[in-house]
Amino acid sequence: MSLEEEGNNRISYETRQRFWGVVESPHVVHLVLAIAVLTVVVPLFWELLTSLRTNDAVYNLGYLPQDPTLSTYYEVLIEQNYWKAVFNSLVISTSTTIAVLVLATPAGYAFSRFRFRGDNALFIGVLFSRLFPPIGLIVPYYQIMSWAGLLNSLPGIIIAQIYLWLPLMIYILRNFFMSIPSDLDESARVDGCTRFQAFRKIALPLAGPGVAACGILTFLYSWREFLFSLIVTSDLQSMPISVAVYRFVGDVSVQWASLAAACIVAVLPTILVVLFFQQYIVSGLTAGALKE
Amino acid sequence: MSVEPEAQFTEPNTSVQRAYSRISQFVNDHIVLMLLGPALVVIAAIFVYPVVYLFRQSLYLTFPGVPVRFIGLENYAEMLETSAFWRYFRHTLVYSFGSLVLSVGSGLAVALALNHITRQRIQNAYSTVLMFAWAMPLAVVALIWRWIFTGTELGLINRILLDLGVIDQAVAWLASPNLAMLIVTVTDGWARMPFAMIVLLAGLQSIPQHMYDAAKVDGATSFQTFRAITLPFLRPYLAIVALINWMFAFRAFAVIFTMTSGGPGTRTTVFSIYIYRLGMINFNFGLASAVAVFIILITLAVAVFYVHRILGGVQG
Repeated sequence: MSLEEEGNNRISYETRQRFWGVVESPHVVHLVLAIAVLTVVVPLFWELLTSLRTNDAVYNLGYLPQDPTLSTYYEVLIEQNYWKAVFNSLVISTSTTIAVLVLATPAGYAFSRFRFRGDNALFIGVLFSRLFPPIGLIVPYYQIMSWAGLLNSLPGIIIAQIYLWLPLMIYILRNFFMSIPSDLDESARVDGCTRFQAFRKIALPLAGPGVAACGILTFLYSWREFLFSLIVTSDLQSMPISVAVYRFVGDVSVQWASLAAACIVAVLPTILVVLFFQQYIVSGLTAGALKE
Repeated sequence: MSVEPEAQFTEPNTSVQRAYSRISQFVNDHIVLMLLGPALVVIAAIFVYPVVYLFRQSLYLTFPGVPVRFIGLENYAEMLETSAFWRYFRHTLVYSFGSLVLSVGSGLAVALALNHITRQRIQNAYSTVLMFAWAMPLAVVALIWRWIFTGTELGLINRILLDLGVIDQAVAWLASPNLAMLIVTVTDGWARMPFAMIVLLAGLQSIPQHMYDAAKVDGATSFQTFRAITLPFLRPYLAIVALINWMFAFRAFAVIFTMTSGGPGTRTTVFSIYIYRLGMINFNFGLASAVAVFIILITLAVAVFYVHRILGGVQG
């Protein structure tokens, strides 16, 4: 501390105090946040404006669409069958979420409560499989899916998604279960509960918010996923919306209005999920990043 | 098998009840296996098997039209001899560290600002909107930014700069060899910022208020308080956020693929794009696997640090 004081002595204490007072003032704080918020809102709003044009009207250089229309949405979703991609996304995300929760909840509980041979090694294995770079696996996945006849199918994507999110969710759920005192399980055991009942009737209800957070995160993550869906699918029958948007990007030109409409449709559910479940997402993300 | 003592307690009288208690007995005797088994079997089947397959394949020559044969480490030798590999390595480092600095730097600034807002509702409103950037599909985010940075006068940035008279003619942002990497890196950092913000805000909120009160009484300036209290408390959070954001930017695919596909030329080609091109376009599975193994080894080396930290926390 004293060294630092000497180094700063050239500028008077009052000046420094005043300077940091300005930096910390509400004006500066709100300015920083407003700039950050603008970088999110402006692109989204611009995309929304673009989606209200037709593909030809995009070449009209006004900032606002001259006659805003929803016809591009109709064209993309109904005439070009992109509703299928939205439906696929829903099926993929829902199935992945259910499968991951069913597998990860008991596993996370087991890691939080029991000591057994190789428990640390297995847990480290789960951590590593979570940190493993999925890009490294696209080639074997493509080959295995092609061998299994699962290319261009929803199960092909769902299997890949389970691999992507299961280890992370085991880890997050373990952390949630760790925060529930194990005394509760033990007293339930004393009262005559079996071990499985202690899990199902005591720990599971208490971990409800944690399980919900994991479900919401898994849903969002699988809705966002791009890489494996791109590898596994090549047609709209099985393509999720996160990949289908890329179909409007051609080799020569891009259909900007159609792309914008598809992007807005792909973004809307994620925005709604954040609006309604922000607290769950925050608790899940922090439990997934930090140690307990 | 002897008569279980449990059976006497429950006195099963029908065969259904007896079967049920037998099953329940089995579940409780093997509780860890029952809880953990299904998840581990699934991970082994859909993760461990492809990994083994990948490592094995990196030792084979698999080129379309040529019979598959074992060639030992030749794929690795070819990989390390290609000058393109080292160029892509450099791109990957620039991209991942650029994204790391941007996401953690801006995430820290925003988290500090959020922490100054005392009204919970306003704080939530800000962080909700900022989290949109994280929640949106990366490919969609990248396409939205691609539209904004479009190189003709259609692009929003070009329009605004033209209208303001800053530039005379449209700038081809993403087709420019120097600007393309900058733009994809900023986009990636922008999309990873909210995660850093959330974790760092959690870190800031865990700092006990009395530390700040004491510093205030001692007459410390805000900067001194930041250096003496905030930063030391925040260090473990910063370390974890940095590790995670770097690791995920190092392997990132969607942003570059949808914005530039690795172009112009190969100026934004990173390892993930390289693997995709080798494997899915050239069908050179062996060489693609070798590059994948290289990425995996680097990630694992970093992951060891991460796991060490995590487990250190578990035991401590």
